[in-house]
Amino acid sequence: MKFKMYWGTWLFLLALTLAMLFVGGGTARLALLALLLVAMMVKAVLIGANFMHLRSEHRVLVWMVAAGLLFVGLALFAGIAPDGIRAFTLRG
Amino acid sequence: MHDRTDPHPPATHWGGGVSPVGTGWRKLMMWWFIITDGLLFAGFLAAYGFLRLAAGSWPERAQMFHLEFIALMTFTLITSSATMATAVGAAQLGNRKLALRFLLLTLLGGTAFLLMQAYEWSTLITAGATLTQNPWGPPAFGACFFLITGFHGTHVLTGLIILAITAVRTARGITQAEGIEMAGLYWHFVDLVWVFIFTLFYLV
Repeated sequence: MKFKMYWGTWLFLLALTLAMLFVGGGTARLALLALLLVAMMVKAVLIGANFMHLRSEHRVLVWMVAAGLLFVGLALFAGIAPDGIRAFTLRG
Repeated sequence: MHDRTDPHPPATHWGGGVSPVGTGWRKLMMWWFIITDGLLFAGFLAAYGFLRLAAGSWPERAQMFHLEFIALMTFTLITSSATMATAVGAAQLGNRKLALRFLLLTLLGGTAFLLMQAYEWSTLITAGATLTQNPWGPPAFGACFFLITGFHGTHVLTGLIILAITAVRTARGITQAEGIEMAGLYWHFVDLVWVFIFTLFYLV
């Protein structure tokens, strides 16, 4: 039963990767970027939940990982992004 | 100095027991390592994002990468993660032989990935890309690419060493299910980081 979940996750990850490769060559840049980032996050959550067994861990541990990685990671990007966009606009 | 109006009397506070988050200290320490190491990668990727925006133009990925080859690398790493999860599952069921078989398969997948990465690096270096040079445009690309994929590759190499030690110890009956699970957590983390590198470097 457990092995089924692992290989089901593997299949889903593979399908998602192929779909990302397929749409990766599109021209709708902003929509494409959003789609790829969402797919990337879905893959990350799948690996964390099913392969790393976070779905069956104590809720405190799950929140510790989510707060540590996701929120701080996103805050890091949110802090850097405005300067990056400003630099891009200045060059453009 | 306990406040009498405190709705949670001291007896209900965590008193320093062995399992504050419902898990053993080994797994907790591994998770802390994963969080801090993950933030290191997040910092690298955020810096890459900034440099890429600040560079104005960025080389076309079709010029530099063979996406079919990168897809094969990704397939190998994802598959090795699934074999690792199966090894952990088998160890938890007490099936040492099956756990060892899947550990060896994971080792094989990881080695194949590392060899493919070495090939990709050598192709780019032969084309003239270095840490400070990039024949397709902004030099920042070379610095970002070699630093981030190199750092990830070092993690893969470390993972392979951990897996090899775990496999030998499992064959001898020294490593128990928890040890295989720790090795698995590290290996899945390596796969998790590649998900971000693959998307942000090769697809965006």
